[in-house]
Amino acid sequence: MTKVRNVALAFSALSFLGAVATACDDESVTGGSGFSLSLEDGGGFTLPDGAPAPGVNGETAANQDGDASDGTDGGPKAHVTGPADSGAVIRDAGYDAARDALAPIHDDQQHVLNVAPAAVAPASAGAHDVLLALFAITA
Amino acid sequence: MTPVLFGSRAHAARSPEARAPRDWDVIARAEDVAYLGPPARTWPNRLAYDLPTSYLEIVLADEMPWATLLLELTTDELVVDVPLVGPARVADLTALFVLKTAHAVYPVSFYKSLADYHFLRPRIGPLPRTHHALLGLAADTARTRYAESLTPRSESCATGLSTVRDWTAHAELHARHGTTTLEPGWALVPPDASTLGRDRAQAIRRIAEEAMVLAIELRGSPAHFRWALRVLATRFLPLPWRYFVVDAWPEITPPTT
Repeated sequence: MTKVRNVALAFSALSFLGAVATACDDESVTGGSGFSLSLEDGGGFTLPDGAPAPGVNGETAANQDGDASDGTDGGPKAHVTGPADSGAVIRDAGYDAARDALAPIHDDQQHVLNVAPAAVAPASAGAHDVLLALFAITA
Repeated sequence: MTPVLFGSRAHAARSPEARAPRDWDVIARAEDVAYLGPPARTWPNRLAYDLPTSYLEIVLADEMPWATLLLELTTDELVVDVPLVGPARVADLTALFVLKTAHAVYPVSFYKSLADYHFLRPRIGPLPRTHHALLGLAADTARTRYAESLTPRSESCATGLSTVRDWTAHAELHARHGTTTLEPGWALVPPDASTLGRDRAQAIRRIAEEAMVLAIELRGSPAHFRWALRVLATRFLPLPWRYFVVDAWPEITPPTT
């Protein structure tokens, strides 16, 4: 088994903070003083024998696309916190990350959506038309 | 031409039950907002101005076909005052739903889009022909803007590209958490009208099974079911199935074993 230390991941994740800010848009981009990064799981993690070593953000070397939340990272998730106007970070992270840093979205919304099917209002006929059109346009 | 208000502020203007808006999103021609002066931030075809407790974002319609069309098809039946900009026509709920849906299957702001989608879904009227065109333009724009999330992913057998190392264990996981027999690559056949009707329950079971297997294989626990579902909806599935997952999200629950 291959043991990987979180501290190394922290440094690599810091190098790709802009990408992380985008990847974690709906996870933990919150306001506060100063810019910080925390690792969720802590204490290192274990890879199966023969598995590729993690790259940026804990991703495998074959999938270094800067997205730590896309299901291919074997390690801890990097969470970004920082002030609403974190200057250079916002400029570097690009439009979407800037929007989310200015007006953060919290994980709470996920729980709101975990409602029982009975509580879901039925779709209007127009909504079905939109979906059917999108199925055709994007197939 | 009078600008058009869209986004969360337009949802709130149209429906008092909408979530609290975050900002002001406006579409305008460049010549109609030139008097505002230099913005606080700019991106291609977008300007942002800081407000005391919020901010104003202006999409410049001149080079964005979807925005130009929304400027043309929005009536002046509802007009509100927008900070700095003044009067703006409010986009109708169907147009707002069309724009939201087109962007809901990408990783950025996923949960916000999901919440807005299910807020608007029961509230829109029939889809007019003009809005069909808006849908096509908005979907194309989103596809271009988030092209990086369209790269075929190999982590789910739903697309037949899986790099699963142990197919026996993988098949056992499917068998344990599934009520259907899933062939690798099933998601390459896009959903259709029957998927929204008589086959909806079966499609939901397929998605739930896929999410559960992913949660266990990639994150080691069924507790990551919702995480896996989001990954399917924004990364792993072909676009048509992503739209289905977003639509069915509240109905998709972990499979019982």
